[in-house]
Amino acid sequence: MAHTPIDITTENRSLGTLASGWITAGALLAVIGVLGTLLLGNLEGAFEDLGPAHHSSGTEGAAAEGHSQGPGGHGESHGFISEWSIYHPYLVSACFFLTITLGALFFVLVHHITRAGWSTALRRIAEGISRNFVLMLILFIPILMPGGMDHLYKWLNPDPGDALIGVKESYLNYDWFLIRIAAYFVIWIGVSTYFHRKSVAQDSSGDESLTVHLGALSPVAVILFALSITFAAFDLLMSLDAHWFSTIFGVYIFAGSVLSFHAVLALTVLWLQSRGRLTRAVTPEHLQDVGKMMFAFTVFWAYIAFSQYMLIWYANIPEETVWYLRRQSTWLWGFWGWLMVLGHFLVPFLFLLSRHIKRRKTTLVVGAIWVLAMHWCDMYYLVMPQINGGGEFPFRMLDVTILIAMGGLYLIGMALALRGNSLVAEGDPKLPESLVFENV
Amino acid sequence: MTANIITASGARNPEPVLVLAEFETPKQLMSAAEKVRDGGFNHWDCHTPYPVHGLDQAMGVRPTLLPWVVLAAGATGCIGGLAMQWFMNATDLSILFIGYPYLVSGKPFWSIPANIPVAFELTILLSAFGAFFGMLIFNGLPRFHRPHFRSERFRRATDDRFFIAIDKRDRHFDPESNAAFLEGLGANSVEVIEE
Repeated sequence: MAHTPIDITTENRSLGTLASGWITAGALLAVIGVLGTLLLGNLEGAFEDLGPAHHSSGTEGAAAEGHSQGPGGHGESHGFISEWSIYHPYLVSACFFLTITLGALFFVLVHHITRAGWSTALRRIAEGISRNFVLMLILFIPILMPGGMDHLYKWLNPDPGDALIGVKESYLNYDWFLIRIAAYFVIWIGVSTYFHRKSVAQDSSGDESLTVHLGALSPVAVILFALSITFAAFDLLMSLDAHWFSTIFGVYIFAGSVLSFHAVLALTVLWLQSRGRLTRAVTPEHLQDVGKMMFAFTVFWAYIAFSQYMLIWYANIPEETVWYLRRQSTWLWGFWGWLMVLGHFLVPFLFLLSRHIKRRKTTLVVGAIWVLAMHWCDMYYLVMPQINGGGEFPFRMLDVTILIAMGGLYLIGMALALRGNSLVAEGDPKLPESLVFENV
Repeated sequence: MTANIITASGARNPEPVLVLAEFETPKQLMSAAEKVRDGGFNHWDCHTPYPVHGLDQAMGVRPTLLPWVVLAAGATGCIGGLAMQWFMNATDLSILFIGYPYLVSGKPFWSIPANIPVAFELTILLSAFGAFFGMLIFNGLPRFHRPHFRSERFRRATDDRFFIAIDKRDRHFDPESNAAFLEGLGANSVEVIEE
């Protein structure tokens, strides 16, 4: 019709020398990040107190922290750790990258489950990013060690007589927690590896039965994905305050995951194009759709975030409202809440509304960077107000240096996953359809 | 070959209202549309059995205003929804404009979180109305009859043929020269419809 199909064989579609560039840059960032963390961490005294808990001694610890934030009638006992530790910024960064990786896995699965056409040209990059679950597992190990757990999760050593944690003990205990986390990573690594391997195998064989096979597998994988992301959100982030609960919390994390992944996808593709890769295989039509997904999940995130907020606000039950109270009682977190409303929803909503914004490279890059920054702020908002009941300004340079270090490692992981194979799912029978895809 | 003339039965003073050219393939249609566009025609249209990508550019169709209509309708819904709730539940201005302040579970009369769902739904509702009715108005719909329907051949516009129609309102409308022009662009057949 309007376009003659692109001959994929004439396209520059391998990472080639860029891979070593990514690895070098990633290593550099990692070294800078780690050195910065060590230096600044020492200055800020972040490493003084890495041993197992000092605050588990109950009466002494709880009294020293002196909180009246606990849910009504509980006096000093509360469900969260209120002292800053290096594990807090570490958890923020780790969750930031974990959610991006989860979004990548979702992209691959939803492509297969819907038998999508348009996303075929972009799927390999998503598959590559989803391979970073291995890296995420390694990065999560320090948190999962007893020392790390003890600095983050109060339920590990609750205050004596804390009934609210007591009833949750059969779920919130260390062994079962580790088993669950292991199960999540088995699912994530298994599914992402399998889908990536089969897709790469199709590059050379062009075997159409692989597409059918992965399509048939994807509904099962999506169910596993939904369960694992929900419970991972409960375990890793929601249980930071073991008294508090919100059933929609997993969906909230999911919304942020898919949103941030599409921002990363847009940035990756545009960067590759600026280096002469995929210049014709990925057209403004694809980019517009990536932008549309960013827009859609901006709205979806807001919808879920508001759903969570409104029900808690309306019901006005102390053990639920305490989570928001902590985030509204000081000017910093009050401001941060408005940052979420305006910066995470209203600004990108209005910005990404126009199709011209989504089709033009510079504006899409601006939108994607903004969305990513806001996603980081979102993760920060979930973790940091736990410290001192939200009464402390928790920002330290470690928030940045740890992020840089992990970002460097993440880049290396992406390079390792994407190099050696084509950047396009070449053997996919839907690729021709994707290459000539147009928004009507 | 000259154009077939189809005259409406019972027309008193039939005069040509439409020049209708049939093309075999979307490719032919596309290149013909480019020529017609470049010819400076201003009231003409293409009819295809399915959406043909790139035809908008080939025809030189200007971007539709519809998104702005939808945006305006959506904004109206949002602001209107908030204003309505404010008026109903939080005003007591005068005897003429009196609301009905009603205390629900101890919340303030004017409280944004409670008002968002209604504002949101009205935004969606009015956006959808704006899109649907705006589309109808911009397309001049509903319309029960068009001169095209007098042509037997035109029925294949929903099946496997592609048409260009030049309307009599067009500044270059002239049945004979238009017919010759379209034939020169590779039309299968050209019909002039008189009403």
